[in-house]
Amino acid sequence: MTTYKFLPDVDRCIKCGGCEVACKQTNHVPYGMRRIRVVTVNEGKPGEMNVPMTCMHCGDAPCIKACPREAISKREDGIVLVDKDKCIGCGYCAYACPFGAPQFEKTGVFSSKGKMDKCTYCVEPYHQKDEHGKRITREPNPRCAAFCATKALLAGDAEEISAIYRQRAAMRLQRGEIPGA
Amino acid sequence: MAIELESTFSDVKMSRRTFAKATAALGAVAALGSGYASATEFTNKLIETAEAAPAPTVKMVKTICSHCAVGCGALGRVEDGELVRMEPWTDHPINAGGMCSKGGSIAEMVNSERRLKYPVKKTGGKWVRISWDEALTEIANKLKDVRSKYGPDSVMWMGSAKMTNEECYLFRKFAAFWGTNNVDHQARICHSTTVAGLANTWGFGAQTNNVNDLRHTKCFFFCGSNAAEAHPCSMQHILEAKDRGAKIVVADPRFTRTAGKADLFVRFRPGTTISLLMGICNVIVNNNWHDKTFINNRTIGFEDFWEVCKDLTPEVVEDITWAPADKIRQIARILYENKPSTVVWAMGQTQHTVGTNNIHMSAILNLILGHAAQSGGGCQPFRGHDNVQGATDMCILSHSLPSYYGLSEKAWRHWCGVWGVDYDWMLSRFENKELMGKNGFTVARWYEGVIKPESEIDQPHNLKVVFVWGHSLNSITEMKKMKEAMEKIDLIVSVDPHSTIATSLADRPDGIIALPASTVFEKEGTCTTTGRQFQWRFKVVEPKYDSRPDMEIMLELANKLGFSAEFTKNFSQYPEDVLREMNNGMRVIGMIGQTPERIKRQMENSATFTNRDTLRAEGGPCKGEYWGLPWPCWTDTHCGTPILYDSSKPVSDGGHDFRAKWGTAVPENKYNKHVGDSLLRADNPVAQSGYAYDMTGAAIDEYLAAGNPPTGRAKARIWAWNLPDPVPIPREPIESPRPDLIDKYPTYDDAPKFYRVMTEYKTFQQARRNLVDRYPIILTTGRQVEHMGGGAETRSCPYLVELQPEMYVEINPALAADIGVKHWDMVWVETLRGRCKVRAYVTERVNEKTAFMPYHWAGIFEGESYADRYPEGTAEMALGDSCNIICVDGYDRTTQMQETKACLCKVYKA
Amino acid sequence: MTEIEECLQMRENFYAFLYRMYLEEPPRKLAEDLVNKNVPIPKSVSLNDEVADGFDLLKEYMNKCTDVDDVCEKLRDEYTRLFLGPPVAIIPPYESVYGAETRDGTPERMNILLKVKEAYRRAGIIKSKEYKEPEDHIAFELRFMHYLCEEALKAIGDGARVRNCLTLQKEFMDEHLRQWVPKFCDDLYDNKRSDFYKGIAKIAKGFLLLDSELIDELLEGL
Repeated sequence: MTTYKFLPDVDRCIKCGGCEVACKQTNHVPYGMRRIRVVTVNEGKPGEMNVPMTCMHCGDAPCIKACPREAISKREDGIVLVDKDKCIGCGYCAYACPFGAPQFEKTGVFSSKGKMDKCTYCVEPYHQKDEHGKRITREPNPRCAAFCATKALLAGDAEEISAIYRQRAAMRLQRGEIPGA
Repeated sequence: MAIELESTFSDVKMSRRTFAKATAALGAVAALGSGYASATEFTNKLIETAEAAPAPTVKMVKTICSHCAVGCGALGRVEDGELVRMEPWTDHPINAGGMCSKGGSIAEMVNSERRLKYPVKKTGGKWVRISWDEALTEIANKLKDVRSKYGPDSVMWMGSAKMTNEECYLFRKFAAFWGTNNVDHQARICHSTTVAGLANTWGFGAQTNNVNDLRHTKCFFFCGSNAAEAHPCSMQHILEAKDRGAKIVVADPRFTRTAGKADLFVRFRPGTTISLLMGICNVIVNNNWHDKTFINNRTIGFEDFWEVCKDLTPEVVEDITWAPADKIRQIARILYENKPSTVVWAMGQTQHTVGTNNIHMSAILNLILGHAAQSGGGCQPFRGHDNVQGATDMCILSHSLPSYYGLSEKAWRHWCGVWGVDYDWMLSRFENKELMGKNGFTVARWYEGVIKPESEIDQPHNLKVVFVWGHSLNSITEMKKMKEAMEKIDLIVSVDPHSTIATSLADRPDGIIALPASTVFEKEGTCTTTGRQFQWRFKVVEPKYDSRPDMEIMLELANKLGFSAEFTKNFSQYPEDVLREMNNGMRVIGMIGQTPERIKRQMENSATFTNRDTLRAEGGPCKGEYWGLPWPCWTDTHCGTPILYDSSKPVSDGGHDFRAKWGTAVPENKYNKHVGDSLLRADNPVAQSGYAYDMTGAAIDEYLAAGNPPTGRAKARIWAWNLPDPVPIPREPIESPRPDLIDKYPTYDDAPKFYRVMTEYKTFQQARRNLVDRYPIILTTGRQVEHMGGGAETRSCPYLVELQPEMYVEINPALAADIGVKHWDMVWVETLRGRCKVRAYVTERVNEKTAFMPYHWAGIFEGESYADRYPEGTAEMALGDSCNIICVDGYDRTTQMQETKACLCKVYKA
Repeated sequence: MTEIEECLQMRENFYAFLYRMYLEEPPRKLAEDLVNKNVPIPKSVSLNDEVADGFDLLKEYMNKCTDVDDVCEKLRDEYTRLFLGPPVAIIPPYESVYGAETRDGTPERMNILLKVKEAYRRAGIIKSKEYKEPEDHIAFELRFMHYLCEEALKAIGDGARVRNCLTLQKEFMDEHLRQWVPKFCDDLYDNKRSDFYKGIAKIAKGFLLLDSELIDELLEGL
């Protein structure tokens, strides 16, 4: 059974922004909303590290537990999705998420926050429904990872991407480095 | 027949038989108004019936990104004739689907509503739309007019690194047919010093390997390159190499994003590259780490080099460069212990008064280690624009004809033969034979041709017309002088998909015509990567709005100027026949075997190039070929030469050697040194054949059969007698913070009549010897990953603007504290040329003596927005002050490359 | 001519007038008519405030027109600055710009453009290669309405075909024109650089609202 995950290989990320733009142009994410962002720590100093932060589709997702409307759910293949019809924009999921994945528009019907939006593993675009009111579902093929310039952001079945990362980690250990440090 | 009507309207204003009322009220005005519909100037037909309209299709079109020279493949998803988004081309051998933010925004840029849609002309202070025919006729008439009064040299043709190869070639040919050498492009201000430095060392001035081959490198020495931001997808291979055990050393004035991946980072003072590399070489030689066998067999001039290098010990160099002596020693050791090492650079080395020297020095470092001319080694100048390597090879350069033949009579006769025109006819197109053989103006200083009096320029008259053809103007320094020139010149013609500052920088009421050019995604043709690889772009969509491909514009202009028949003699199928003419004529670099059929076949069969380490197709229709058929590709069955000068393979398998460009022995020279010494490789001497002028190909066949490259097997010149400095010596930048070092390592003497204009060196440096008292901070410039070139395209793209919305100057927290400024406050950055008002980006990337500004910004001039010369409503487009207003007026001594990497400034609160 | 036919003819004419106003710089003949006060301002347009206001503005503009060359140049300049640029149109006359929820992002704009093309395809037409703007330009969309009026008139007598044209018009009006043209016209009216086009903006907006009802009425009547 496939379990879809992300694995950001921070040793490779150079903050080129390819993932951010790929996500926007594929999922029609509006200006100001960032389903994926690259965050830099120790900018300009030794130890500088770039981390592509997207929804990690957690195994035991805190956002699901925090949501008072049960608007967030997890598919069998691991992908965590929010139902924008049920979402009331309370923002509890944002408090709960350790990665800052939930995003809110500045305006909306129910509150100043609007409906929560987040990475859907490219399964759903920003506007969840098509013109006939039917919910859109696409193949899980995250463009952020496909477009990653250095193949830093790995996406796919957890076993497979772990194997790739393990390989890289082994090479790095051999070279005397601590991977991801 | 009476019609019963019912009213079912909820709107209280409406009532039954409204339609009758409406008809009565509006009938008259409608009848009059409809009469206007047939009175049109530009369009007649809007609609066509489509009985058998094909059902809308979805197709994926293979194309190449239009930004940097890595040459990433991308798929354009086209629905019903519209490019809706980009998709990853996962089996492309170079990038395997990866793209940076710029590449991901391609669909955005092609569909941008900010594109120039129609030809427009500025007249009476306003912009007016005109038809293509009217525009080209007016331009042609003006050209004929200035030609008759002032001669053909009164026109400056600024061409483009962003056209296809075929268009670049036609552009250079066009300037020749027009009759001037005042034709140049972005390479001048980008890697012209690389070409001069490397070609003068070992024969060709291009990247020796390719980005995939870097997977075999054991040690990267980034000196003047921020590849993580300027060439993001190259890092895919570099970091793969790092995983395989390679070391990364970064020497840079800034702790860049590339430095963030380094094992060793060394900060050094902008403009002191030669000293730094000399210090490293000093350690190498003193430790006997240099490869004596390689040096003896394959180089000449090591002793002359050591004469200079021996005194530049790490301690001496530390004082010059800021780099600590022990770090210099460490770099030398790492390079030596991790073979093969490679030197990687870009603008950080090229854009200096000593740019050519810097590059020569990098090659020397690589040579004395014996790491040159092999897989994983060599020198990697990462080229800039998507097709600047191609445009350079086509020599849209004021000092050469295509393929680096130069401007001698022999070169002209060669090309006249290829073009099928009489040499005397070509001569008649020029003002005189002297000007036909004389270097023209460069894009770095073309404006001097307008504003200097005629007595001070090296041609009969001033420039009267300038074509800004796919060239941004804010990447050129001295923007104040450029603005002055643009306000004085008779006519500016801008050819670009966007209107750029060519239309707005000058404050003038008329004399500007802007023509909308199509992007590369709206036409077909080849482009060349930084690794000399050829790729074919298929047409993604039809030209948008009323834009036209550059080639069409050139052909029509040639027609109006009356030389169309001669110009297009060999062409019936476009662009393929243009490429065939190139294959026939561009023999110096062996651009012979890259035929349209072979390149297209490779693109279609990209999936068969599975070995990303070698880039050689091991099976399938392209079996044996290297991806892109990198030049030299000697025949139409040759596999291409992926690694220059690499003699470990047979030539028929892509092997090569140093080029015997200067003959078999050192000629008489002004230093009276080495005269008669052999220039050929000691262990396998082979002279260069006459391949470059042999139109039959027999010379090539003969050499290939003997297993030799037609360019011979020579020694690389560590001592190059024709360069201003045969061996690099340290020279301070024009504006230096160390008066004592200015005295010890002064710059060049002034150069009169240098590309037609006086170029000052010593005069300026002496006058500014103590400038550091008033302007204590070193200003250096560079790139941001989100923006490209002059920025007209990328700053109009919402995704990229969201990532990088504002212009800024990077300053160190200590400097910020000194001047009382917090992060993101507005500050002025001032030099002798002027000042820019920008945000302060407080960061430790730079030290307290340095400031850094990205150069992609325009729309604001010394704090004043000139958006008022645009209509309002453009506030969303990201504007910023241009750092090239304030950079120094210094130029490389060989190529007139601008020195944007080192000048003096001061920063203060706004 | 029956009342229905008269109405269809009026609508065809009006759409021709409107699409021409957005298609290109206004023609010289318009300048002449304005100077000679030849434009018949409708008297009672109590049907619709916007249309009435629009014609009032047009009348005001007409009153200050004295010299044909001068008016011609002013009209040309206004059109250029508002809709052409360079570098950009101040009021981009495209459904993909005004019809999108947010003014960014190609994907949404492309979706709209593709839907517009599909609507034309269903009516059996495609854009001519001679016309250089994309299919969602306001001039083209209005031309489409004009075309359907023409077809309806040609088909008079065949109730089903006329009904078909009107139905296509209703769909296009509801799914496309009314989704964006009102906003576009408001912006055009509000912009300080519009003068002649203030009147046209209100007339266009008003006429579309009016025409919505006319189409319904006509459909009911068939």
